[in-house]
Amino acid sequence: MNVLRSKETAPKAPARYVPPRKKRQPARPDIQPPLTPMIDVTFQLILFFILVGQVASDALARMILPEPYVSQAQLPEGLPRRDRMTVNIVSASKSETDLPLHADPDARKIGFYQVDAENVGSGARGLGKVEDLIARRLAALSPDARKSFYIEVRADKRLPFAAVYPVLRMAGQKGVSLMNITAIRELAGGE
Amino acid sequence: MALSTKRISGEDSVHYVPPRKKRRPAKPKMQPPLTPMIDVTFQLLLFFLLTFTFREAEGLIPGSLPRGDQGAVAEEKILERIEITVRPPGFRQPDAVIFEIRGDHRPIENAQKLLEELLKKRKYCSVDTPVVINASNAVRWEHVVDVFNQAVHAKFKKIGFAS
Repeated sequence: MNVLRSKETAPKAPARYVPPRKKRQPARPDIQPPLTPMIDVTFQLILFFILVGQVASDALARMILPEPYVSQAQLPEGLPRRDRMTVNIVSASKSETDLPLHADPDARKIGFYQVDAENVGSGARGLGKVEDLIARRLAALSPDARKSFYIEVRADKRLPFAAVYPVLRMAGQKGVSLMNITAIRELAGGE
Repeated sequence: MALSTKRISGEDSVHYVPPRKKRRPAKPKMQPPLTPMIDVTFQLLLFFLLTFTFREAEGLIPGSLPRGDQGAVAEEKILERIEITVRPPGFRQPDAVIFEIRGDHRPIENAQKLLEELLKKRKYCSVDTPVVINASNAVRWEHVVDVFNQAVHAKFKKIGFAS
């Protein structure tokens, strides 16, 4: 009884705010997309680019190459780099498409000569440097290596013959007996 | 290790009680962190895509140059040779081309017909017959290469240039 009485007389506690009971939410499932096939595909792509792509060499200047009918151009296989010299004759045109002469008059002018990766300028001075570099390379070769040494003439197809002929004549005069002309290859399947 | 058994009242048989299995803690899921790996892989892919400059399918047409001081053409005393003139058809058409084989007074309009003519000549000429490409200074290099290519295609071995 005492207890009851004391309970009646006990001061009432102030009403406290009771937040609404939160619903228990089910645990979120751990969603993770399947990443392994994605990595597989990406690696396949990287491998494809590495194997299929031929990296552009510094020795090959950007230009539009001739594309002859039924091209006889072949890949230079089995020839060490020291036994050849690439002479690039680059057009002064900034365009990478073959425009008519009136639309792109610079296409018929020489931009510069480039021997392997070295830009040697243009005009008579550039040609003189080409001659000098060929002579130096020949001098550094043994007599046997000199026989197999060849120059690779890479000239823009838009240039006039007069721009290329001096290089051919000069190489012949220096004693280079082999000369290869760079052109677009006929792809397998006649593409 | 002694087997634990139990007896059930009213039954004669002895029941075998299997040893209590220990509760093993659940194995933690082992998964390597794949996200950084994918990041790096995509970076690599992007690098290759952006930095690669694909080379055109180019090749070399083999040829030779005469030795000595006579220029690109062997000015030997040649009794028989095939001389192909390459020139623009007119002053107003510097990009166009016409081929002529010395002796044949018919102009040849394209490389395909030139090849046919050279193959006809090959029937009665040896592979060592010199072929001289006499190109006009103004003619485009691509046309000269085309003639050179057709001569190589017709299996001629001595091909030279003149200007």
